Amino acid sequence: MISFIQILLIVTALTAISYEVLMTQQIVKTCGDSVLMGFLTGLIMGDVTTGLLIGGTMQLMSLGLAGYGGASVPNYRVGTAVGVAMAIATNGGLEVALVVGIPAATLGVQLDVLAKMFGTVFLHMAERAADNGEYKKSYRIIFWGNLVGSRVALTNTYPALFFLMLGSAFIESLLAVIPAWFISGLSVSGNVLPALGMAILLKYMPIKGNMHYLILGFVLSVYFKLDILPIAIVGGIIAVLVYQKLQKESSNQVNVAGGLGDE
Amino acid sequence: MSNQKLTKKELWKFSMRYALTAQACQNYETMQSCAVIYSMGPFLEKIYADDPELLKKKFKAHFQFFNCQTYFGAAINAAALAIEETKTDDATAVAQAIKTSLMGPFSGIGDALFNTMPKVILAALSAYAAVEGSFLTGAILLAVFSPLLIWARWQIIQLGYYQGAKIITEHHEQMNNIREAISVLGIIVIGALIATMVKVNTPLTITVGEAVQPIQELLDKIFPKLLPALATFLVYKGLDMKKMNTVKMVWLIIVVVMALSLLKVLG
Repeated sequence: MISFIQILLIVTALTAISYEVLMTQQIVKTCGDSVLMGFLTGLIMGDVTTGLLIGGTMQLMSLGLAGYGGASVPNYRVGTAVGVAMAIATNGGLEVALVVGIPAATLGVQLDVLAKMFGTVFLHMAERAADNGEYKKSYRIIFWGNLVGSRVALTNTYPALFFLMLGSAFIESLLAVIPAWFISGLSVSGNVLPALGMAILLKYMPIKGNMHYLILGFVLSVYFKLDILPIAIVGGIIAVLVYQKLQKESSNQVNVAGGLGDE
Repeated sequence: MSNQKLTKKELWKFSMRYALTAQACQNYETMQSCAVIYSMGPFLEKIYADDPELLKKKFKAHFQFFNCQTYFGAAINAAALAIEETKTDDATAVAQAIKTSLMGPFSGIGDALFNTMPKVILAALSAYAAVEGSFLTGAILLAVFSPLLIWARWQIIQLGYYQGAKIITEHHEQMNNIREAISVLGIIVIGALIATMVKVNTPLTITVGEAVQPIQELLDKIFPKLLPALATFLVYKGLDMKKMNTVKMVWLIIVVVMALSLLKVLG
């Protein structure tokens, strides 16, 4: 069972993390929002290991998903919060987390569109206030409108509250009617889904002409059996070399151009 | 430009106001303009206190469309504010021109440097440790890199304000080179992540005479992790399909994998 206090704590943590991810954008991204969400939810529910496993898996699925240019993407933070809470409450592990977490996460896209429509409402209110010379009021509308009617609330706080209120009893009865092959198939899917995160990342990377680096990382892991951290260090060294080479090339180009800046 | 009037402390206030509302009330009409108004507004009020009608026009102008990665967004608006402080007749026109011309290119650089890279490298490392059951890696990364990000963002904003848009443009090439180099690191890490985090196994076997040979065992000897690499490649190509998006892809993967596991091809 999930107590009311636990729901409250989870939703508060989710709201704070989401605000940081969407607004200040300087802290949570360094450890991964879903990882942190999984850790905190696990802590609140009393099973940190499960929380981290699910949060980590969701994070891997979401790698590369960022709202570039304002695009709407699945919200794996909500998926993690709801998934971890339900998984621990029903003792169901990663499978249960995926059963409830993925729908909760993908619902994020529709809600995000809705939230941006609401944003227009607050924009117009703030504009009107500024038109009347009421600047303080305009700031207040932006700040508070943002808190209660924005992406933070509409795509995180409210849906998480809804799913958690449905309760673990609902999820348990749902699981009772779902056949076993479906659950085991879902757990195999959970292992394959990080491929999507990787694929999306590669879409954003200058992969053309850099394919050999991808193979290098793969080979270092598969055949040299190195951990991720040493591979990242090797990668860091190579990145420094690449940067030095590029800097040299750009300064050469300036010289060839005849030092236009000096004339 | 040497007529900047903001002290460091005031610029910090600007920077915090921008951070607090960076994507506030984001909407399809003007995207992040609410953050622009929230951060720049109080300073515009001060600069144009003597001309209420002009001030209204300034607000109207800065309520226009703005969308950029948020660190560079803050820096570009700091530059725009510095221009507004000159109080010249065409200040707003120049400020708007700078905003619209810089927000596109710097979104690209900013997203790569401050959104994609932290996710690929830091969040992936953290997720990797989390799956193994430890938050220590995540906590260390957070403690080390958050101050770095905060510092980097503050440097960019100061550049924007004190040097104007000029310097941002001049450092364009260097930042591109940094991005290019970090991309290499990112690609190497992704290569390793595909091998470790994507898990695809097959329970299929081949029977040679009496002996039953599991295919997975053969694969592990010759080309371990061939299946994860293959799966990633297929998803990568699949994303190019018409009308495909990431949400559809999540469900498509689940359906396909489930079917294959039902047929005992994957397990």
